[in-house]
Amino acid sequence: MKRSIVLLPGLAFLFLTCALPAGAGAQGLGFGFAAGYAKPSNSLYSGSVAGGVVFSIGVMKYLAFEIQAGYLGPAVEASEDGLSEGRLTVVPVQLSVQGRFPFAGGRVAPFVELGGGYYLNSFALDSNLAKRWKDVGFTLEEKPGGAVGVHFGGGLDVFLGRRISLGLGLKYSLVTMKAVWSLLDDASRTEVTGELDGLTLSPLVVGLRVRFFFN
Amino acid sequence: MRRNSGKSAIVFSAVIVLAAVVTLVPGGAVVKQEPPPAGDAATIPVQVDKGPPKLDHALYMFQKIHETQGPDKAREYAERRRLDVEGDAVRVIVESSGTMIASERINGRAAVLENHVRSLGGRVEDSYQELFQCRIPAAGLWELAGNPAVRFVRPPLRPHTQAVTSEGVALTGANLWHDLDPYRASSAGVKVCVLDLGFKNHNLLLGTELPATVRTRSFRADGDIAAGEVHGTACAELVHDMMPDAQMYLVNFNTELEHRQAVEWLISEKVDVISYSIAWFNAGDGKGTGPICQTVKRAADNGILWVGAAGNYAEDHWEGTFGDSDADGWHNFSGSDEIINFYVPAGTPVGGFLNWDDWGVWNGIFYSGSSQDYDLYLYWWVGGNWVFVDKSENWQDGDQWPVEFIGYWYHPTVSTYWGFAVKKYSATRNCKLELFVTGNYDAVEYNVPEGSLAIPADSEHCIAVGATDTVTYPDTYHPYSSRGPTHDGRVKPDFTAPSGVSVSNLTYGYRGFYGTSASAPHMAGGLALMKGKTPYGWDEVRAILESRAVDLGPSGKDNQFGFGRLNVKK
Repeated sequence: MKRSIVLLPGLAFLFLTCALPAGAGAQGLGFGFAAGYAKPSNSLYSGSVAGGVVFSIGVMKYLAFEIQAGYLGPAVEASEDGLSEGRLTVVPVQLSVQGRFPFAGGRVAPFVELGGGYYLNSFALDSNLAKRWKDVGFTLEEKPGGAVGVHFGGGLDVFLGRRISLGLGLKYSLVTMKAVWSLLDDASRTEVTGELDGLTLSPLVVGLRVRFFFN
Repeated sequence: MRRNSGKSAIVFSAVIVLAAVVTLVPGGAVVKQEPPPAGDAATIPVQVDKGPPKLDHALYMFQKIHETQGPDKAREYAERRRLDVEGDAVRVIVESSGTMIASERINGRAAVLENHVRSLGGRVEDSYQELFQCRIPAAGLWELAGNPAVRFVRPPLRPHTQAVTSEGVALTGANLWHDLDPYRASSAGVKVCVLDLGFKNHNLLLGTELPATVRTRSFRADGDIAAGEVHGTACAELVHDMMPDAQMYLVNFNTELEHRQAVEWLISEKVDVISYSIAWFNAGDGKGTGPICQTVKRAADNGILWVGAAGNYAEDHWEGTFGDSDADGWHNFSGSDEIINFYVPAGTPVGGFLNWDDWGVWNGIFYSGSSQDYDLYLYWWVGGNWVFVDKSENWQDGDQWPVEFIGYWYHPTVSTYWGFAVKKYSATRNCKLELFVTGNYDAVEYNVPEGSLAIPADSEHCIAVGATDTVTYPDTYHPYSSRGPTHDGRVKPDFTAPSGVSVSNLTYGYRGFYGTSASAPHMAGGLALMKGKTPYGWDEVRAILESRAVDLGPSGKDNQFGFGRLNVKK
């Protein structure tokens, strides 16, 4: 039953691609949206919905550049050397170079991509945890910093016309972040702080995207 | 155009389906592995498996697991459910039914049940009226419960010791911390030592009023950790009440050298906190020097936080400059009065400790000594007259300490007044005298509460703790609690903490632990609690507690309450 749920739309998707008109090969400027699922490689971070916006520039038939700004929000399980219980918000801003291999008259274009990006990170402590410390007079904070990462991946774009494409992609990012923690005594303002190094995020994102072109 | 619109609709439908597949499968209910939240339990289908109606469910499960998963799993289960298992046999209580079956009428109920139990490979350990305590192999539980003579088979009821928690725990807010997980710290890593004279009955309180395991060591010559004294045990109870997670050391001594050896050992053990409810007299100049304060300094230099009782001597203390207005060689306490008196109940030992401000220079090992010679004399009031009892006439001609002591060996058979007199033997100046009296029922005549700190509460390395009441008049000062300043003018004590609190009946009982001896362990426990739960260093923990202390008496730190009463909540 579950297999058929996955296979049927897949077959439908392949059928439709064959019936579509030839695409333009994604040359020119494009804009679109992406949505999917992200699972950080760190087992303490849960999987989460991922999403974002995409700008692309197709410089030639086989080469394109892409800028993507995304979002993912994994829940975090506490660990001794890592973050406490809470939820991480990650906004990756990524620049990719894509090698594209269109066929079927340009209607279908598998691609591989490689790039780098900057990951804007923030963290919200579990509200119960924060409250319990507040109850004994302390403010607990943990702030992850931004991080630079590299990524690679690949996928398949299907052109539904000259101005619209639909894609399925897989992207793995290598990202390690740092964070600072602080515990502040609300009365005396006595604060103790520390750093957390080597917090591996490295999400694997699988997602769909739809793009519109202005060429 | 219309055709394109139709295609788009189909394509978007496919996108939505695909998106749903991609986004929902990883978190969907189908593959969810986590247990449901407690409130959702009713929505999860549960297969009811209650077992035989006459068998406790834990015992039923024990046999079932034994048969389906083997003895090891069954023993694991038994441990979780606190079943008393030996080998494969579990201890149970068999409640026999009220009506006798035929064989019971003939052979007696006990005999019939015993035969059945024995046939199952078990034994009857004890019986009382309708109850039979038995050991039954796992395989026989269901069958035993099926016996018509049996009303119910269950585990024995478990006795629980009545836990006694100091009222100081709630007053200081320590209870709010107990369920809080340490943040980048380790509660279990904090080592707290109660350094005291004796720990009688401590072994009877392990796992209840004290941690299940404690480290004990006696530095007494006879190696007796109990030493006939419950004082240390009561202190340890309070530390445990305040900071249940700490590793606890119970260490005792009897002499100053044993005391020093004990501290050296505690340094080697990397103990974090010493809770010290012991006082010394005539052991230093009151400025934080002398052999006992040196030991405290040695501990502090090695990272140990020393928390000490300020002393219970505010009403037992007199100090003043020697004055001899009638030029007879005797100090005049007031006008022509040359005896400081105090009332002593019958049977109470009497003592007096005199010292004066001529200790010389402390070099870390010795004082250079005194050349001002005063002596101490003891009298009691008999038949309308002061009658001489004893004297202390140490030499002070350069090397000796400026101290005189008349000790505890007088146990008067009648309640009466006693008195001390001080005589100048040979002195080139009028020294500042200090007298501590023991055995007095209430405040001594001409009482001077100021400066009544016991040693080593005068040490700058000792967090000195005074006593406030906890139950009857919360946060009121206990008048016996020793006050500062030190003889070099420093404000002491540093804090006050609860006293008049409850401990177990094996020590001082319900609301029976009074004195700064009770206060110091509260303070030590409070410091250890905050240190064990947070990543702050000792200096920061101390600063935080200074700011949180409930300021009593004059605003700010004062010589009666210090920074105020210990408070670990916000």
